[in-house]
Amino acid sequence: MNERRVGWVESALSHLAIVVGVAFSLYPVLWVVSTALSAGSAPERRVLPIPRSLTLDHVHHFLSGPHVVSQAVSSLVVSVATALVGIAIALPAAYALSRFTFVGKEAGVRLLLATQMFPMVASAVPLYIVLETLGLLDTRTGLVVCYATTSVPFAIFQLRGAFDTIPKDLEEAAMVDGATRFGAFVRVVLPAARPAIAVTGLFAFMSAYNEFILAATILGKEEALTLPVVLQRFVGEHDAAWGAFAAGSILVSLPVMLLFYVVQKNLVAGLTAGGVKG
Amino acid sequence: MAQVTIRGVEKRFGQTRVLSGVDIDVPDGGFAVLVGPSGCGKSTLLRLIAGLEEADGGSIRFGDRDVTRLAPRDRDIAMVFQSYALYPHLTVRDNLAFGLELRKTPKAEIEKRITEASEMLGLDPLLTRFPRQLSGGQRQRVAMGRAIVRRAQVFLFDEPLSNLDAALRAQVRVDIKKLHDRIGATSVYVTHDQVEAMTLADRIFVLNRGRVEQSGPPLEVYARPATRFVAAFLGSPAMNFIDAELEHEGGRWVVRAPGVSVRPSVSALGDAPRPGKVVLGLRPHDVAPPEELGKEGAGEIHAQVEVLEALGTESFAHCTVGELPFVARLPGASRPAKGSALLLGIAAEHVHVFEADSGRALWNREG
Ligand SMILES: Nc1ncnc2c1ncn2[C@@H]1O[C@H](COP(=O)(O)OP(=O)(O)O)[C@@H](O)[C@H]1O
Ligand SMILES: [Mg+2]
Repeated sequence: MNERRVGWVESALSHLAIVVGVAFSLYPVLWVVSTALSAGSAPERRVLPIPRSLTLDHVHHFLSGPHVVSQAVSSLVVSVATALVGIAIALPAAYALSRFTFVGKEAGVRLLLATQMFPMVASAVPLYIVLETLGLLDTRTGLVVCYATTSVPFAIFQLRGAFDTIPKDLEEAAMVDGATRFGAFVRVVLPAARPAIAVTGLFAFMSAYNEFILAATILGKEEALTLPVVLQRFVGEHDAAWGAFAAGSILVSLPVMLLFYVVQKNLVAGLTAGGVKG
Repeated sequence: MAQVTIRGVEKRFGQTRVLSGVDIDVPDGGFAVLVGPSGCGKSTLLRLIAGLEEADGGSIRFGDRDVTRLAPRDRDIAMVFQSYALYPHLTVRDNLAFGLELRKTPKAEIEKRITEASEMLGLDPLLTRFPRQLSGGQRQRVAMGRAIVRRAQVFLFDEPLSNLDAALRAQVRVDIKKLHDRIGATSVYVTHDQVEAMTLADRIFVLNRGRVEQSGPPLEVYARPATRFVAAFLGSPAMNFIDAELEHEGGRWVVRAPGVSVRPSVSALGDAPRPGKVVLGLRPHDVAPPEELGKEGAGEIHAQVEVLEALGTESFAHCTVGELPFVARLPGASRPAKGSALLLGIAAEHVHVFEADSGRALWNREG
């Protein structure tokens, strides 16, 4: 009797907490939606994010930019390339850290950790100089090089953790069955780590897709700009088109939301790794 | 198929010696069981045979091939892992086919072998499932199937039954014996379970701290343990050990302890025994009240019954002899009362005598 009442109170409280949390995180998003769909260029100052009148003008404004298609393609190419290159570099490193002992292993891991403590901005100037020397300034390749290298440490951590949960027996079984170590890695370890690889790739993709400062520093050609830079231009120094900015933000977020939806199953599996046990 | 010959194998992990001077012989088609307590190096030895670890010394031969330095894939072995190690992303069928596809076996042949193995192991209804959709017993069978389809020269098993419950374990044990009778593959089987060792092996190797303590046909090793360690390890309930004195008396050797006086056979004593401290070993199954012994008794054990475990067909009397605990197996009909005195006899051939300090059987003394 008593127990049940406690259960009810607990449940009510936790639901209340969830509702508050959801409202707190959704409120700004709802304002963006409202601003995108309201007439006028500045957000209205009201409590509830409900537009007075609905219009698609801002969406049109954003989509009628002269290079918007090639800029979207640019963003996707840079982000996908970042994820692919980052994962390709991180996979063998993470596997070696998970499976082998070698001189300097722990020191190397600590060094990797250390690089994570500096914000990417701190290295913007040196990166600029490096890319200039390499002749990669103002190219998407240059941007991908920067993004991929900065995404590698986190990817290594993530993947090493995933590999640690994959029993060594699996590779050994494959090697007894006739595979080389590399063959066992490709045929058994990689498929078993697929959820974690998908999640790690998604993180690398998102960090590249959302990044602004380096993109704004390195890229110059109008048609090659990535979407965060394009968005920023709508709220420039002279006139701030908040409506178009909001509409663009929503459109730009769509691919990420779609990706999350697609990898949703992997996301859960990747975060609760260990489900790979035979 | 091939015979397995291991000579003087050594293995260290850092400073820790895990195997020293191990010799193993398995005849073509034989079934060898490596048995010993946890941590004695059984798995390490099996992994050396598989090529998953590299030996620091000694040699491993399959038939006339020296495989000591070969990679696992070049040794032509199949292995059943303790964890089964089924590939989680492949169906049962693809798990079975994995090794054959790697070796570029023709499709029709793969199909034929899968059919054959799944018929042997009853895998047919499972072929399209993934490992996570199988019970423990089913996974175990798939792991066996994956080894069988390979038709390898040597089969290796690392405690394949340890993750099954007791009833299933007993059944699969029999299945493995049947399979071996049918396929006749040279097998090396690792277990810490003495029942598995006794029932499956045609030759057992008892390992202790990285050495082969004794090897031979299981019943021979059971009947004539070379050391106290082997004597204690094989048999359940375990052998009773009593600190005793070996004495020479009227031209005969007698082992005496409080409440005990037995005359071992000549062959148990070896050449030129000396009087002195020894450890007497008597199995619970070898002692019996004199009238039920069925053989000529070779002495007397005076026991005091403390607890009787009656199982129907037999009973185990937990007694004290002198001050020491002593277990005796009694036929189902005899039910001595708690606290009563129990007189037990034993045949001379069942009396084991070990050196007090080295633990070696007297017939197995050094030097
Ligand atoms: N890779 C390893 N590194 C260090 N020590 C090991 C390794 N593998 C096994 N050992 C040690 O070797 C000994 C024998 O292990 P193992 O062969 O697994 O024993 P068993 O299979 O008989 O239980 C144990 O003491 C174990 O701790
Ligand atoms: Mg083991």
